Amino acid sequence: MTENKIYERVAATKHPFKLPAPWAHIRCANGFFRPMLDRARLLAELEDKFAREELLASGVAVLNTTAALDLAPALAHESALVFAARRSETAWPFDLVVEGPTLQGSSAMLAMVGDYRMADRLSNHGDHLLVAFSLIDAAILTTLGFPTALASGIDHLGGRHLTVLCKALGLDRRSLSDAELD
Amino acid sequence: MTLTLVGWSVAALAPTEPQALQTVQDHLRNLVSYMGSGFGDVRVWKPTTGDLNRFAFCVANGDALDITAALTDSLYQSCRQSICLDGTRVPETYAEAANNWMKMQPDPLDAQRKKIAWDHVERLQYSELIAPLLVWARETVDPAQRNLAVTLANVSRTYHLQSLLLAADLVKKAREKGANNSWALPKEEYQQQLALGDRLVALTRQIQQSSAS
Repeated sequence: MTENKIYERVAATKHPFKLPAPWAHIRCANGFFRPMLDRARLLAELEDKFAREELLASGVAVLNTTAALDLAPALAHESALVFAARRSETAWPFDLVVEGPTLQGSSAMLAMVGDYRMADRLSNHGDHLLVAFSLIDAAILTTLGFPTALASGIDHLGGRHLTVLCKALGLDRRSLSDAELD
Repeated sequence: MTLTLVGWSVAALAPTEPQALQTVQDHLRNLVSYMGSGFGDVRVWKPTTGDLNRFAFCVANGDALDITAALTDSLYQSCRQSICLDGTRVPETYAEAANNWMKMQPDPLDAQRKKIAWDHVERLQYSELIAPLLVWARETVDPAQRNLAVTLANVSRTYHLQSLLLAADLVKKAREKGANNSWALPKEEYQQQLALGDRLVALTRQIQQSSAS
């Protein structure tokens, strides 16, 4: 999938993320990063490697008023923090979690629960999933080993996303028909 | 599965309640009440002032283990005082949770309530029996002893949960067939459980011997 390659490219150009004070002496868990500091260069690199439509479809870029590409606001702002959700250690990210909806337009909770590291953390904490309200809080709690997802989007959680989430967490949920899922 | 909403600011170590907390809590309550969402239990974690002071001290002076221990204590303490979203009181001890769950077995209650009760059993069993064993294991320097302690935690977890399931099965069969046939459970299940009990005893002896030597 092209968007996964794009996410991998964004993650590869990362700038190390340091937890804020008073947590600064603790090294942040893998997966959380800040995008390359020079955002114009990041966009130029992406445009060099990927087609305009692919960048728009991935959610990494948006059209500005002059119909040129801009980085998505969630990546462009100064203190942007990102979590690259992966199915396995070596897999490309299937989504990038930012404050608000993910770049795929999905629920942040769904993406974080789908990350390959979540199952181990859950089993180490008696299937106790924490739901944080900011990505920095999620980063700190994850760093300390707590299975943590981000709350954004939960207030609208329902339908297919709820079923997918329950499945990912191994919870019972009645099967919904395709009509209900749409 | 227990969902716990983080009702404070971790980054700032402050009791500031997140703006969206109430909205999210309301939506989850509706998912549980109206759609049987599958989330067994949803709580809010609100540390006390004492907890926050301990966090600040541990973050400034301790290592990751100290901080994790402080957060874990606060989390379980805060959740013990919580109320389930379906209005029932959350059990405070493993014994209470196990008793609640056993009481539900004879009646054909809805699966959702039984699942919530079972989630309490697993959570409290973990916090009261397994977590202390794992903490002990982490603090044990000798690798052989540490491995024994981790194994003891794992076997204990299986043993206690299987004991409850076996007892519940017995109650169910007794009700179905009458008390006279209540012993008619598969022999293999009893044998498996007895073997686990033997393993627990053997592990405990091994740990005692290795500590003495």
